[in-house]
Amino acid sequence: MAPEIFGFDDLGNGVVLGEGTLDEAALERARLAQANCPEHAIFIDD
Amino acid sequence: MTDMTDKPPVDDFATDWDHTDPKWVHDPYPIWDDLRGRCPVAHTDRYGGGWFPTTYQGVSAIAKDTEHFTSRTVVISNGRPGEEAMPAPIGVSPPISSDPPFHAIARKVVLPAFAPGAINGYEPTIRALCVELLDQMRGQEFVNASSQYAQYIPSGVIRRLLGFPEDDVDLFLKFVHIVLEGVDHNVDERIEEFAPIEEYIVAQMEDHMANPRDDLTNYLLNVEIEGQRLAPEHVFGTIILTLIAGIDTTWSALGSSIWHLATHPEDLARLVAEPDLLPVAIEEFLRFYAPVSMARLVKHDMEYLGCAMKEDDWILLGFPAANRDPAVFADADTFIIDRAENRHVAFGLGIHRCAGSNLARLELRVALEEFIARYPTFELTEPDAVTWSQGQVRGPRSIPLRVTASVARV
Repeated sequence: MAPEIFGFDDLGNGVVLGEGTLDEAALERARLAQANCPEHAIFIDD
Repeated sequence: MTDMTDKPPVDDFATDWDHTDPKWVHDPYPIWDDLRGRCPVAHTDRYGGGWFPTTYQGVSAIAKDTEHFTSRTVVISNGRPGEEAMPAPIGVSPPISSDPPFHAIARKVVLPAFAPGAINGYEPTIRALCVELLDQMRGQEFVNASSQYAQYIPSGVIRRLLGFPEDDVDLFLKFVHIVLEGVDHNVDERIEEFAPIEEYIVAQMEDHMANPRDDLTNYLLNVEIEGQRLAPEHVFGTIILTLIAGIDTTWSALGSSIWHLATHPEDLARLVAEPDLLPVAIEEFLRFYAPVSMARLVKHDMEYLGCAMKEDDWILLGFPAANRDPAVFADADTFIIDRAENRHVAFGLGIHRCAGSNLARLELRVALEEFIARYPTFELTEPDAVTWSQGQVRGPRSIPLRVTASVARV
């Protein structure tokens, strides 16, 4: 989900790609990813 | 095989649950819904005593709590693991059987082998395996999607990953059955049944030491932690974990997905028309038919979730039950193929969350893509002939189908 925002490190842990600043469309996808993260590990600052 | 009839049938699952009871094996969901409404943590005196939380909140709390619960053994059986059976700090099958702090070390060993970067390269191999199985079924109007297809995909993939002989796939399937479905056998039977598995893996390790190649087995034999190679029992334990946890689980998830599509033609038609929906549908398959429940042992006597738990009581950690909790999932007992928000816990939660989830998702996607491409329509011929596995991994072991091959692919 949202591969343009999230990637993986060598251990397979999720990482944010780039600086983590998102435009409107990307923000919507990031919020959907957040709503699907079972570990509640995604945080978005407004 | 222990005769199921030698155990008293369950009268009330709230006070006497048994995950090998025929009613539970056949259709556990109404039982769990009932328990969630009135317990919500069920108890049993079977297996020496155990608890079964049925809510998302209860399952999540225990999965994340390594202070009060140990993972020394994650499969419920009639015996308790003695100290000898789990040399500290490794445990029988690291990292799943390891507690902190050793757990982090053991998990860091396996994670790189199952990270997306390492796994994604397997897609062509998985696809070729699926096509080969479908080609073997060519010309047949009646097929069994479990015994002819689903079971051979994860077993074939894990065999390649570990670098074990091609002809041994049926042997792995037998091992998996012994470990996961013989849980109600007595301790002596279990020890006797495990002996050939141990012999086989030790022989494979010796062969890999004598003839090194580029596979997971040699990786585990060579990898170093702070300049030290892993203990042989650590390598052995992680191999058995890969073999057991990597096969039955994905076979079950794939089988349940095909069974669902065979009984819900509207969902099958939707996937045929919208192949891009498949990754979203897979998450709903995983939520709705989550195959895996884990176990924990209570570390010491305590009051927890309102229950008087005793040291060494079992916890059946029902991720599939958590996935049906209406407090977390709207219309929890309805399969919604395009469910947009799906925080399911099919792969577990916390430090023991499934390390192979990327591989499982890849296998599911490719295997379903190929099956649907070959058979855009299929239906169940004998609903009563569908049998479900017993124990902590749930999936259909027989899925008799009538299939109609795609004209383009005949």
